Amino acid sequence: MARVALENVSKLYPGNVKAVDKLTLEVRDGEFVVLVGPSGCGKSTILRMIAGLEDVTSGTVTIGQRVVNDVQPKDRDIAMVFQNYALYPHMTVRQNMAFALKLRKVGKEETESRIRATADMLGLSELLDRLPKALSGGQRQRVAVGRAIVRQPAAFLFDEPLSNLDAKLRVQMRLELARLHNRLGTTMIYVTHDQAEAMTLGDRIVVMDDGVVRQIAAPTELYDSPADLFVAGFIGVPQMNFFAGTIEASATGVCFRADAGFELPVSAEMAGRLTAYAGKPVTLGLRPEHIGVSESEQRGSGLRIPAVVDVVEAMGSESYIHLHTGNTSFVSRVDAHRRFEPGQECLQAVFVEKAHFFDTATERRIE
Amino acid sequence: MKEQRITWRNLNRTWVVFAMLAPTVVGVAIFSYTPAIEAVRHSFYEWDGRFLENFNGLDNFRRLLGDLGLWGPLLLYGFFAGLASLLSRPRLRRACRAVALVALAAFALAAGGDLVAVWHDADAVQTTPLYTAAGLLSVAALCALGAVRGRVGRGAAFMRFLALALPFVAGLTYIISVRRLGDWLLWKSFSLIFVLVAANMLKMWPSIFVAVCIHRLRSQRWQYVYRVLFVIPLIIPQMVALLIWKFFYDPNVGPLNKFLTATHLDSVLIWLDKWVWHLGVFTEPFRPAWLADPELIVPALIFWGFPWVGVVGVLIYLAGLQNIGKELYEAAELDGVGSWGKFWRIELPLIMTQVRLNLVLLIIGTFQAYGFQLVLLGPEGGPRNVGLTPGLYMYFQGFIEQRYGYACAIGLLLFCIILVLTIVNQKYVRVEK
Amino acid sequence: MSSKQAKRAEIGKHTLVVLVLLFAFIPLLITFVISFKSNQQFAVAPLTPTFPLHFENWAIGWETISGYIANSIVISVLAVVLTLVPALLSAFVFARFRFPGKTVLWYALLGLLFMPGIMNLVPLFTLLRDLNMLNSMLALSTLYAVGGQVFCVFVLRNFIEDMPQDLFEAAQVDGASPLQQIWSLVIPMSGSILGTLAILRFLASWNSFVMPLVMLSSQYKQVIPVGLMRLDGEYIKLWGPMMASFSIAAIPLVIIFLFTMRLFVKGLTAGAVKG
Ligand SMILES: Nc1ncnc2c1ncn2[C@@H]1O[C@H](COP(=O)(O)OP(=O)(O)O)[C@@H](O)[C@H]1O
Ligand SMILES: [Mg+2]
Repeated sequence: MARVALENVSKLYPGNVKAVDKLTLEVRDGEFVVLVGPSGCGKSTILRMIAGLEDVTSGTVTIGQRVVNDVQPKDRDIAMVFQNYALYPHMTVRQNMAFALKLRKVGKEETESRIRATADMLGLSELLDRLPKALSGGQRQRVAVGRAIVRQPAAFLFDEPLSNLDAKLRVQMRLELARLHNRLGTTMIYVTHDQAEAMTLGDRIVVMDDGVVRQIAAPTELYDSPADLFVAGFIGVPQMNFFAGTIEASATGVCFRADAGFELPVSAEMAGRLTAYAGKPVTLGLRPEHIGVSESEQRGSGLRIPAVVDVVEAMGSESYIHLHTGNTSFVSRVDAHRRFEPGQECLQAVFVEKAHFFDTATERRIE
Repeated sequence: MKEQRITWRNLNRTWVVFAMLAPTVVGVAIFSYTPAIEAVRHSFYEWDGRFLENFNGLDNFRRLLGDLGLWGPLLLYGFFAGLASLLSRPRLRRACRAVALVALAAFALAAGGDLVAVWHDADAVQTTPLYTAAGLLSVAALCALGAVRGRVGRGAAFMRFLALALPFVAGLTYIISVRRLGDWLLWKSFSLIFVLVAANMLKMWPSIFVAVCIHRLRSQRWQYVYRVLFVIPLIIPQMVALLIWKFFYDPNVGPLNKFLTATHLDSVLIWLDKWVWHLGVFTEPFRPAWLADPELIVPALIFWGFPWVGVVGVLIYLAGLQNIGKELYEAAELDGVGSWGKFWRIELPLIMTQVRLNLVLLIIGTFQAYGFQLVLLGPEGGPRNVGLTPGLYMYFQGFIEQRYGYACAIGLLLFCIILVLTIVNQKYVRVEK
Repeated sequence: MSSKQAKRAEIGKHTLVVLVLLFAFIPLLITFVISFKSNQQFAVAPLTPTFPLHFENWAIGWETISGYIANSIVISVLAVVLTLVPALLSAFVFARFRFPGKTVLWYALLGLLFMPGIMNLVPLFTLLRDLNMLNSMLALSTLYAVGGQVFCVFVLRNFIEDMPQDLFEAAQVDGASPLQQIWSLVIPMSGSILGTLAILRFLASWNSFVMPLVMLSSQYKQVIPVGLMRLDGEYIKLWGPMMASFSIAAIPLVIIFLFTMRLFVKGLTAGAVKG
């Protein structure tokens, strides 16, 4: 077991493609860290640099106490689970799991007992003598994980391991992975583009975009206080609503004037910080669950925005109401029992104390 | 592509990788590149492979091609004209065409002077080919005119191609036929190549037909069976096949003559020879020596391998045919396309890649081939050298006459020709991977 | 199309294919028939079977060419090994690594595919003479190996690049060196390609006769094609033993094909060797 640290790591692919830019990240021993970000933002590259499959252009990678920049993958004592599983097609499940141990000259009995234990843990005992092509997607996934576990490595690396599974299986495997981490307590670094996976699995989450880290934080913190517009938009389903506008400070108080045409008084606590932005463009961020809907002017605190319903998505326990005011559309998340019709005019109640404000110019959150 | 990067810096870690390359690289360097370079070098030498090794400049080529003053401009013209048709950038293309025209003018001057100088010697100048060359030139001029007027479209491109290619052919005709310059045996061997390649173009059809027949069989099982059966002839060593064919042609005991006599076709041939061909090869008693009679060698070579179904050819065509989707056939069926229609409109166009590839390989192969003729006809290519191929001629000059330098020069010439063919192949015969 | 018509068309196709196959096999048949004849029988009826069968022809034939066959087997097997082992190694390097000069080296190799072998013959002869390697079977195998090298590297590189690349990365993380990756991944997964290439190279070496004719001078080192050629060139031909020798010369290939037929049919028809 070991900590993994990246310090000012950059990666330049041939053709001057900057995949990772001055990334610094410390993964503590036993921690489960998830790298999340849109496709092509450099997550796999980071993982592959940790594994040693890709050279770092600059910076240092440390595993345990050792700088491993010049260490071969096989000597880094890490195990990796690939998106397509990368099971050796001509070897049985048992041989797949034994392969690395054989190369490391682990004794026969030791190998067998490790495979036994792992197979039991993952429910693979019946499948040990099958070839990968005779396995279902979920089983293959499990074998790939098992192959990593038998190694008893210092750290596990996962590169979008669940993205080839169907939705239901994905949720199930996600749970199993979480359980596995509790049980083994080994350092795990996990890459995904799916924010739900990131939120459920990670002790800490690294949100990336275009080769740079946007925020590193625990899931709840990420959700409650996103560092910038990108993080705010990336985390949470449905996406956070954004309204462009300006801050107006007057004798009566500070208020946000949206380009869409409505005005929103700012809570006392925020007002102090926002006065500095008076007259400047600011973006208001509101999560869908913080926008209530009502047909009359009775409910909720804060202000009401007149809006028209576009579409209603019923999700069972709740509904997503897509609305527009002026030419800005936004989403509200409400209880499923309340009925709305497309075209209906209604008033939105906004919970002002949950509003986020972002500096439109720098995209950073104002706090 | 995720490749691992290896540099010289971390050599202590990565030397294994370079070591893995070493056997191939060293082997190829010693046994392919060294001899090739030596061959090029020695084409400028008088060399008997042992003691005599004198640099003699372009003498070998002079002897091979004749007057280099004529060849130089013509080759330059050919090179730049070819380059012009290969390049895609208009400005470069125009520049190349300009250089080509200058070279052509130089050639015209040289040829004109040459002609004036030898005109009084009636024997040296052959008039018929001279007219042919002139005719070719005028056609080229017409094409050039057409190309200029009709700017766009495929027609214009073809005209342009002809306008560039025909002057080269005319020049070749002049040098080779009118002035009879250079090594006459070499030209003779080239003419044999033309005959053989033309014959081979016809001889590739049976393989295509057979492949299509197998492909169209309903039953997958039979398709597989035939495919296996077609592999079997590969087990016959080529030398055995060759010697069996030789036996087949044997004048006294060979099955061919026996067959002709038995079916009384012999009297037909004798009658034809007496009244139509006047060759004097088919006479009573009927014992034509197919591989020893200069008149019969080329026909015998052409008939060789009847019914001309190449095993590997069939398998490769089959591979191509298998890529044709079933829907295509069904669509054709719905459109009411018949058997022939399917062959011409669907199957042939879709295996054209393989056909053209085969054709080009065949031409290149014919140029190089000499083992076959060596066994059958001996190093001189049989009586009156009728079966002499360029490759065999090189073998003859090198290993029989001990003129290794000259043989190398012939080899270099062949290499250039094959290179041109290969480039043309790369440019015009796209082969999908 | 009525089913009757369809059936007739089907029969037509079968007939044509079978006829062609017959033509391909007739020479074999004739050889076989003649191999049991004495010269007298041959003079009377060269093509039809005659009795008694002279089995001793095969014994004589075997006596005459067994040495050639042994030489051919040694040289061809050696050539296949010497071709495929280096080809596999360098194909793997070309497929999996990026190194300075890679492109140049690759085109330098590919260029050899277009170099007419014929141009090299004379200097190759003198080169071997200078290296004191003339008249050596090992040297001949080496020449075949180098000759087939580029084609095999080309085919194998394409194959390795078409394999899922993360298999190699997984193996790397698992601790496999390049050699171990070749041994435990490439070789098991490329069975049919390797087999097809091996057979093709074996056939090429087996059939080649100009090289041995030029490079080998000792009679006892000669290979089968040259041996057969000499046999055919004798002034007084013993047709029976000669044809028996022809038949015997095919036996090693028959044996090989019996074992590898399926592989080969698959490899060739899959277009693995389209070039
Ligand atoms: N071998 C390579 N050569 C050049 N560019 C690459 C290579 N691999 C990845 N990239 C680029 O680097 C960026 C990051 O890729 P990657 O780490 O695979 O993203 P992801 O976050 O989807 O896993 C992408 O823009 C990709 O195009
Ligand atoms: Mg990725």
